[in-house]
Amino acid sequence: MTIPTAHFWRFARTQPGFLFGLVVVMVTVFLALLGPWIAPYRPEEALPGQAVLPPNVDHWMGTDISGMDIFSRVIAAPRIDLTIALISTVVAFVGGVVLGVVSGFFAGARGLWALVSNAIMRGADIFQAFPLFIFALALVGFRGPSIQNVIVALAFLNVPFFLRVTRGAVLHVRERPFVDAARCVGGSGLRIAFVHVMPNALTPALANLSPTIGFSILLTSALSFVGAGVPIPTPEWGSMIAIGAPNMMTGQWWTALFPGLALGVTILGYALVGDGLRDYLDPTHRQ
Amino acid sequence: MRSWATGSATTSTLPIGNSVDALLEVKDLHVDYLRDAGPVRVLNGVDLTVYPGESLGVVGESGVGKTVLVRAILGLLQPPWRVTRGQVLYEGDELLRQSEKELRTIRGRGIALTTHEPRKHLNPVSTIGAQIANVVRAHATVGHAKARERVLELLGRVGFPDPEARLTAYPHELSGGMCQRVIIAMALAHSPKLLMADEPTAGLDVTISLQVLDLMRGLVRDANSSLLLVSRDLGVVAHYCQRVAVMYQGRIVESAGVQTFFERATHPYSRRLLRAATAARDEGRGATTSAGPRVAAAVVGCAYTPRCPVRVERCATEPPALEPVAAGHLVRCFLGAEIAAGRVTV
Amino acid sequence: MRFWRYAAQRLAFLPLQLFIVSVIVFFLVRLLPGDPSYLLAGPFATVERVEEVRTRLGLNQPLHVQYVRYVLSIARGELGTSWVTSRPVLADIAQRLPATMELVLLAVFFCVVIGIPLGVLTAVRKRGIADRLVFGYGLLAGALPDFWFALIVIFVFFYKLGWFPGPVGQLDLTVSMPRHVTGMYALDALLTADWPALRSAVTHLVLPVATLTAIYMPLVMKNTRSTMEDMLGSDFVTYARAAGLSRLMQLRYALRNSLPSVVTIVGILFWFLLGGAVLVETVFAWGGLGQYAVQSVVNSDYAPLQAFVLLTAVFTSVVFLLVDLAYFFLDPRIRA
Repeated sequence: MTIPTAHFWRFARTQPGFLFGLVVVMVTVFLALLGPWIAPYRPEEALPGQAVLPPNVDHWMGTDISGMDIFSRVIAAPRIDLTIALISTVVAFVGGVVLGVVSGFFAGARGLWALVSNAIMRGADIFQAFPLFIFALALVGFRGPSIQNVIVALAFLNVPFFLRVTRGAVLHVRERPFVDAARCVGGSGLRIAFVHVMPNALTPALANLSPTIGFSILLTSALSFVGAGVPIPTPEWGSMIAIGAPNMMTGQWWTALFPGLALGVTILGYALVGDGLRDYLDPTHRQ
Repeated sequence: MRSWATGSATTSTLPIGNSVDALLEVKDLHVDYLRDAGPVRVLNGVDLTVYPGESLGVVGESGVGKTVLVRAILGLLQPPWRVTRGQVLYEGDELLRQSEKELRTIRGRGIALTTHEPRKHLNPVSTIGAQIANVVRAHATVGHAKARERVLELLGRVGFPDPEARLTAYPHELSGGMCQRVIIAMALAHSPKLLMADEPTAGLDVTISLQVLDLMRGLVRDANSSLLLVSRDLGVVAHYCQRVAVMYQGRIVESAGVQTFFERATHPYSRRLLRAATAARDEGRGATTSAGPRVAAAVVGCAYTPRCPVRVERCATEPPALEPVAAGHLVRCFLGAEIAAGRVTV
Repeated sequence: MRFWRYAAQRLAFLPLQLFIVSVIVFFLVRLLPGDPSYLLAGPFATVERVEEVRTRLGLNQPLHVQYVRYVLSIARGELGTSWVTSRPVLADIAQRLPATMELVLLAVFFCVVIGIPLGVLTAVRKRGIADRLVFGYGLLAGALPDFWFALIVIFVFFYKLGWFPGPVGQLDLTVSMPRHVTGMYALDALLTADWPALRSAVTHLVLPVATLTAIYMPLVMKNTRSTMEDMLGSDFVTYARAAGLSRLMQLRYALRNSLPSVVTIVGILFWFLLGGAVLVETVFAWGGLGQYAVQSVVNSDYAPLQAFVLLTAVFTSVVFLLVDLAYFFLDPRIRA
């Protein structure tokens, strides 16, 4: 898919939220690549005798209970948060789109593929009976807390979502005339589904990539917050908030405030990029 | 199939001219549809007059703004629709400047509306008995029993064989024709002076259509109301109306008594419409026209220019006015007089 | 009676759903790499102890035999034993469930009571100041982590202002528990007229419930707003207007038609709040089921975790079933 750049920027200029989101995405990607190196202190280094210092010239966001520089950790965190979110989202995207195409294309058909289509949907229904965070917690809990397990859990969790939006789009696309045309020239079902239908049904899933990355970052940090995700002392926003939590009750607000702000701004930014892309790709959505 | 010109309208005396006060006058009505990319002009100066007791048919292809016109008259348009210019005079009162509260007293009582796709216009989770009762109560303080009595009477009048049994029916349990009858019952609940029927037969079977139209005409006559019938179907208009107004791209391009129109239609577009209708009738089909191009932007000259066989240079640059070629026969065309006189053939 | 037939049809699906849920939970544990015996026996168990657990649980037997044993034990109400509390999981859960329910039910109540009117208001007054404010708030609330927001709330209202007690659970340590009726302290205190306990319980509820409401209320509000907006622009409301019905009556038509969608979102709200409660309970040291689950994860206490997941899935399945049943009364079209 090509995005005509001039047209794209003309659209983006009129959408402040979208622009803000794009900046957030670029900053997080930049920090994920370079954050740990441009940080003024080593993110995992406990500076002796400098515990719980309020924000000052040396430590812009203060230090935490073990004397780690919060600013350094905040800008180092996207590396792990973004990596987890990105991998799990891409895996979920691929899995969800494939399952969505199959279940949508063969919905209401007969024979084996119809059974497959039905089974996929019932499976998704039942998986979604589990509250999302609890399911993530359980998956990680049964396998033991580790970064790989967080990735696996999040990938698994996001599949039904991509499945549903893709299936919805496929149900529309498969009614279009070119699909009949492909059938007439004798394409096999699966081939038509993936060669002709899928490329035309990707828009909703693509538009949801960015918000899902944001949401995965939220889940990652939530898991880390309760101690079921990224282990301490790896710089990660959720675990930083967990480290700072006891200090919040005794007035050292900077310990949890800054990582939480970074997290909130990031999630908001990724969501706004998703909204903007959806409007850009599908102008009928615009208000 | 009946012939166009032998409908009920042939023997009527047309109250044309200033001898009778108009019931409804629409003057130079402009309506825009606002988009991100800028406004689209949908009504481009509509002029229309309805006299007491008469029936006027507005014909046009789908997409020329007939539904928008009807809704604009009742003040029902909401953003992104906007009335940008013009007047709607009902019994001499300007409706466009009236508040929602003032309009409410006219809606349903002075001017009532029936719609196409009747089922979509009924509240899906409420029984038809309750819905009609709500309409009855909208303009009259009546008790429960009285309202129920009135609902039963209305249902009977629109041809429900067993009104009592249908009170508790939901719209989804009724056929399209039955839903249209419910809408008609609501529209006539307060004997309005003007009934505007917006494509009342779209989507109905031919036999049901005729039943619905006959019913509507009978009820309008009984109440001595005027009828503004909006339709794509020239045949329907010919049979049920005394006067015709042809709409093209947001403007009225011709209006005349029904017989005059079928004998001496003048505007090139009207002629084309007539030919298409006749062709369709001869082939035994009901459709009248092919869809024209959608209104794209404000047109400088006459909107029909690109499709017109007799266009001249000024057609594209300045808009013609709606001018009489004979008594009660108005045409919006520079060549109107020439065509009417037979000096130009279309 | 048509309702009972509809309900029976819908109920018939529930056992199947629960069956599959149980299968998922069962296989989640067993098909994952590693031996659950280690998890079950706890991190400090000896090799002999692990072996003993394995035999006792029949983990050396074929999968289908294991599954039957697992289902039978669930049917008997045996959900295993927590090695952390050394108590039957069922007893632990029964003890903690009311605390969580109190939190979740109150949050649902406030989300509905605040969210629906706000949604209706902003749908009616489109593009007004309230609409803009509420839109911005909705956007923000969707991005804020609830567990972080809970900490900010504690900092402001406990540390700075001192209006409410800190995150020490459901009651002050100096207040004795109200007599047990439902297990929900505030309710029990009210029922037994135990005023000191009631006061303490309510003040402890304020911050966690406010946190959950602030974060999850926009879900109800946004849904109500968009549904109401659709309904107010619908053909039948337009026709009601054309027929001269009052503004109030038009609103009634729109509201009545929005109800099914709103009920659905309330069902989904439960689903969200169960997850949110886990985190917020952890912050407030609430001592409910959510905190119990988190502790099980951290301690690799596998039996309570399995029971908790099963319980939440059953709970949401039942909530969704109730939503479906409510539809029967709200939408005549599905009665046909």
